[in-house]
Amino acid sequence: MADVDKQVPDLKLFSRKVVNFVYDYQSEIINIKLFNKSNLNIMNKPVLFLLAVSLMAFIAGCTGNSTHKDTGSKAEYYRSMLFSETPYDKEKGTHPITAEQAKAINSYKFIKDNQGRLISVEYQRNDSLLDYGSLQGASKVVYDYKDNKQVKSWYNRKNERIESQGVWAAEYTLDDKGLRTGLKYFGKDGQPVENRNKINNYVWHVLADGMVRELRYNLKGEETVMNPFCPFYELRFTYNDKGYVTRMANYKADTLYNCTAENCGDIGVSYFAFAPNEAGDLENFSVYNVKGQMSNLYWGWSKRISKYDQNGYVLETALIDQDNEYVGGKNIPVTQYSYDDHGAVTEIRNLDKDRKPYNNPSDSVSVTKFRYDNTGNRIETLRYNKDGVQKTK
Amino acid sequence: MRFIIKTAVLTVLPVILLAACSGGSKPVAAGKAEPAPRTAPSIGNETQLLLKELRDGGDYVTSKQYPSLIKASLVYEALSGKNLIVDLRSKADFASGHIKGAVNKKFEDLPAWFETGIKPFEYEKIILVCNDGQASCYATSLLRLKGYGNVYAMRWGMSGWSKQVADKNWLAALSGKYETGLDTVTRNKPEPMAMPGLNTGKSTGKDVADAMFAKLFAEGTSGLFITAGEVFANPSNYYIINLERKDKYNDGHIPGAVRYKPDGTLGVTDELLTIPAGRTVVVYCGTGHSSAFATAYLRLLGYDARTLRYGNNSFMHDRMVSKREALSWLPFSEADVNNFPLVK
Repeated sequence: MADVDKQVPDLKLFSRKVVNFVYDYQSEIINIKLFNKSNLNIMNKPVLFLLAVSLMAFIAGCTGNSTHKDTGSKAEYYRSMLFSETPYDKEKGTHPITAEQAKAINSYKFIKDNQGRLISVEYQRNDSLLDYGSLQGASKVVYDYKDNKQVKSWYNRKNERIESQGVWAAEYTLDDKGLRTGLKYFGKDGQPVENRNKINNYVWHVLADGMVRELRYNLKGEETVMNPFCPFYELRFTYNDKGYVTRMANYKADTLYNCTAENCGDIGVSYFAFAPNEAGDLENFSVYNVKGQMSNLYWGWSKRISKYDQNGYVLETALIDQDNEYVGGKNIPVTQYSYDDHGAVTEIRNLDKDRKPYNNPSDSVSVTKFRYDNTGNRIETLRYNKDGVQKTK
Repeated sequence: MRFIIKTAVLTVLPVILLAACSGGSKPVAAGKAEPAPRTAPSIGNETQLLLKELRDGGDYVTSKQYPSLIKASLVYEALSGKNLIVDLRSKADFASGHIKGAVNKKFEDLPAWFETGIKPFEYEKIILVCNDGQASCYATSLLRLKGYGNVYAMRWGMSGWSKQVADKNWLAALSGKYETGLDTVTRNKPEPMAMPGLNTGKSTGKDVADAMFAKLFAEGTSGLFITAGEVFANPSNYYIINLERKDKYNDGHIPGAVRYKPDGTLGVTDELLTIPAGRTVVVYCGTGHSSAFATAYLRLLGYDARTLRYGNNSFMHDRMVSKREALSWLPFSEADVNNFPLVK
């Protein structure tokens, strides 16, 4: 990962330090890291404050219209978010781009504080928030810290705070190394709540073999499943040397377990296997039972194969069922995607297994086209059947 | 000079005009005629109305809730909850022992009872039970298709609840009698053909659906089942649908059986059109549960469909046991029987 500090001009570094000082000053916690005692002797607090504000105003004028110009924090830009199957994973981006490129390319802007802690992720272009990214329905996610807690909250394109999955705030507990060991969900009133999958809190533990164990509980303190249609209790995650998740397995009593709950695959489901490429793009997502046989989960497919371009944009996904054949029925065997120069998807095409145009059996749509305004916001969605006839609804 | 120009115009212009009138279509190579477009099989008006009604109602057969089965262990845990257990067995069977709180109802009486006898949506779950789980799967499928979204069938029926019931039903039905007569030839689906014609005389999807539901409930379950003995006696008498994984089908199926994907057949018109309307259709799966669910849907659309009672367990149980690991079969055994209490 690029060392952002080295890319930021000295002026901005100074700006960040000043901002940090101002924040602390307003909190009446004097941070004297920037100013030695002799400086403090000759400058009282109001003078320092005014000086800092003046400097900020000057620097802000020089640095353009960054959404986080007031923090002076470290910004990194990525075209995509790294695939994750658990909130244990720290949010990471893939396919980094420069700040200059981010003016014209849809990207995830990661901002870290001067301790290297993530303080926000925005899906944006040229500092204008966008609402069709992969941030749990939000345009921006903000992280606040207190002691060993990291609190996550979500914002829409208008920068208004919103709920995500029925949750107002997600409070992580971090260990000494900054790894997540637990998560609790809270509502608007600050009371503990369950998310849409009836989960109130998670507990994670790194096992001796390196796998990460995940347990979930509801508000009554009862162990609860991942979701109603995938009723796994204890999960164990495996990561490769790049930190990419490669397996999510269902365990019971320290043994790989076959979930045979109704509708959880007709031969049971035991684990998901993930095959990311070097950049972290998920090329293969497959579902197996305890014996390693492909198994359809409730969604009706067992394997999803994805192809990407050099920028990490998915070009095609193919769905394969447990018979190792392209899916049929209500599922769409192959989907292809096109993008504009900004990295925004412009067209989605449904295809059959021979890559011929295919109407979605549910709504008869074969092609979906998107149009955007100059700032990257989606302003129109047009749908057509395979004969090119536009669908009105 | 004028003559030359006039001649050229008269010669070239018609060619240009003809080309323009051709609509830009690609020329067809001489002697290589394009294949004639296949005429789409007809779907009757009432069937179209019914299919639309089912789709508009949430398309149960393609939903995550299909098939709506629940294990006996979960029913036992849920006894204290706001659930209703409906026992579809005979009065005698019910009297010999039933789940505490269960209500004994006849299959034929279910629609009226759901409409006026109870408030179905006041219950978290309504769980149907019978001796082997198969009639209750059929009833559950019909009720779900009718719009009751909280109805479940208990897997294995009361055989999964009590050894006393299992001994007379599931455990008595297990057989490997026909496993030497299995076929390994893959049979392709036929070309699309017309779907059964419905003649309810109704003009709206809801009315057609209601008429068909009324007909099916009135018919009861007597013509619903078919046995392995009947099918193996003359498989060619039937259009046999295998609703299983490909590896299981390939390992051996009823002679002449055609495989349909469990997740990709019902609710998909192109697939339904390959099922012959004029023949008796036998649907089978490993246990008779999924096939009973599917049979309800097919009968609703007018197919003469039967479900093979106890599925593969009734004719190749020994093979299922021996290949349990390799093919993930679910051969029924005493391990599937719980010892939960019965009341009289």
